[in-house]
Amino acid sequence: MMCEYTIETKDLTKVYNGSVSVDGVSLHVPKGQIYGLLGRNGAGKTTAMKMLLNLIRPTSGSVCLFGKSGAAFDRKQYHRIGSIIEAPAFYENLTAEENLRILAKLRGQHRRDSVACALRVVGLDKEKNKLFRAYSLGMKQRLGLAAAIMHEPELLILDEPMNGLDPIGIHETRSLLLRMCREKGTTILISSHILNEMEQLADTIGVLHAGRLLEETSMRKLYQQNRRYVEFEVSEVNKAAMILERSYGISDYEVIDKGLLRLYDRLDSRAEINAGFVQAGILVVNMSIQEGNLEDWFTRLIGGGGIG
Amino acid sequence: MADIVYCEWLKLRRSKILLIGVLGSLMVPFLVAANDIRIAAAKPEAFLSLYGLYEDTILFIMLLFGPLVLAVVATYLINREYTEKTLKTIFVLPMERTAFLLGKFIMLFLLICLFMLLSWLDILVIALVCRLFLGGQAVTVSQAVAVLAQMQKGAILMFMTLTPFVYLALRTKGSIAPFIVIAAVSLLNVVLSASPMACFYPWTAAYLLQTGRYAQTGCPTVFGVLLLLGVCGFGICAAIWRFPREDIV
Repeated sequence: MMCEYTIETKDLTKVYNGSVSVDGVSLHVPKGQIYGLLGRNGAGKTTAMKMLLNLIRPTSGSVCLFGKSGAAFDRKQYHRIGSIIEAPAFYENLTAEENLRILAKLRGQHRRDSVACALRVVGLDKEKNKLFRAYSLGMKQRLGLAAAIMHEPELLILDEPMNGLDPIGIHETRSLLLRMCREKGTTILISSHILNEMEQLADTIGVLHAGRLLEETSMRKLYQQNRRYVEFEVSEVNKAAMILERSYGISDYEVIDKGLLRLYDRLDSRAEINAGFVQAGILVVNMSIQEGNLEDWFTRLIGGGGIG
Repeated sequence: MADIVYCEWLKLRRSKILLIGVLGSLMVPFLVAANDIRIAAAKPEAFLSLYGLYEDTILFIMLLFGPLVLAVVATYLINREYTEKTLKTIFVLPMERTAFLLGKFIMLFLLICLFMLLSWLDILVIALVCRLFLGGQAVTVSQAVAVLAQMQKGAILMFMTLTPFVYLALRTKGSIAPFIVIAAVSLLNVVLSASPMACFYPWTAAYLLQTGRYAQTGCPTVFGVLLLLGVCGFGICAAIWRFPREDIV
C-alpha cells in the first residue's frame, strides 16, 4: 500500500471481546501539520493511537507510517516517532533524569545533552532528581512530553497531552507544539475531548465517535462553515451574487442551495444589501443572522447524548 | 542486548526487591552457621568447615530460599512493567519485544548469580571467622574456588527451573498466581527431597544435580539434565511466543 500521508490508516478496526472499539477508521494525517483527533471519552481515540504505535494489533485494516505499511515498517524506524499514550508511565523508583536516560539508552541515542535539553524545554530541569512517584500529575505529563520530544522525532502522537497541566503549562505546551510543527516541520497527531484545545492547535480535525470517524476536515473549512453569517433566501441567487460582487465588492459569500446565499463579510450592511436586492428586482423571502460555533457543530455531529 | 540488560539493572535502583534478595542471600549462610555453631558447642567432636557450611547452605538455598525468593524476583521483573504501565513507554522505542524479554531473562540469571556470589562470600567470611575464633577447619583458596564454582553451577540450575515463572507472570499479569504456585512448588520440594520421586520433580532434581546425588536416586543424570532443559526451554519459549502477540492495553 503506497501512502502519501505521514499517517494513513485504512478501515482500521479493533474488536475487544465482541465489542467494537474502533470501527473502520481511515485517517489521513498530512506531513508537517497538526491533526486533532477529537472525540468524547471512550470514543476510541486511545485505541486508535495504540494501533498506530503497534501497542495493540488491529483486528482488521492497515496502518501506513511515513509511506510504509505496517508489514514493511521496520521497528527501527520508531526512533522517528515520539508519543504519549494516556497518562505518562515511568519507573516509580527512579528520578526523572534516570527514567529519560533509560529511554535514551534503549533508543540508542548518543547525544549526551538530549536528556538535559528535554528536561529544560518542559521546565523540569530543577526537579530532575525527584523520584517519579513524588511528581504531581502535571509534572508527570511534562516528563511524558520530554520523553516524547527528546529525540527530535518527525512524528508526535500525543494522547490528551494537556491532561493535568495548569493553565501556564497548557499555554507552554501549546506554544511548544506549534513551534515544533511550524519551525521543524514535525507532524503531530494529538487527541483531545476538549474542542477549544483543538481549535487553537489543529490544522486538520478528525471527529471520532463510538469508534467511527464521523468527519475529517481542515480547520479552515470548519471555521468557514461555522462563522457568523447572514443568510438570504432570495428568488434569484445568481443575480444576488453578482450584485454582492459588483455593487458591494464582497467576495466572501457562499451559495448554499437554490435560493440560499450566505454572506460572511460586512454583516452590518445587511439592511443596505437587502435594499439593493429589492431595488434590483430580487425577491428577498427571508434574511437571518446565523451564529455558528464549533461546539454546536460538534454536538450536531455526534448527536448529543449522555455524559461522555 | 548489553544496553537492554544495563537498563534492566538501572531499573532496580532503590527497589526493595534487590535489598530483599541481598539480605536473603546473606541471611541463609548466617542462620546455617548459627545452627552449626550450636551443634559444635554441644558436640566438641563436630567441627566447623567451609564445606560443611556450604553443604548446609546450598540445601536451604536450592530447596527453599532459592525457589521462593528468586521466583518473587522473577515475577517482580515482569510484573512491575504491568503495574507501573511502563510497557507502553518502552514498546514505542525501536526495540523488539523479544529482545526486551531476553533482557529480562538475562537480568534474572545475573541476579541469581549475584545472590549466589553473595552467599558464597558470606560462607567464606563465616568460615574464616570460625577458623580464627572457634577453631574451625583451615580454609584454602582451592576450597573456596571449588565452592564458588559449585554455587555458580547451582545458580545455572536454579535459573533453569525459574523460567516458567517469567511466563506465568506474563500470562497472569499479576503476582498472586506465581506466588501461590511457588509456595506449592517449595512445599513439594521439601516433601519430595528425600523421596524416590525427587529425580522427576524439576526443582528437587536441580538440587540433586547440583550436589552430584542425582544418580543415587536410580535415574540417569542425563535424564535430570534433559528434564531441566525441558523446563527451562518451556519457560523461555512460551514467554517468547506469547509476549510479542500481546496487546498493551
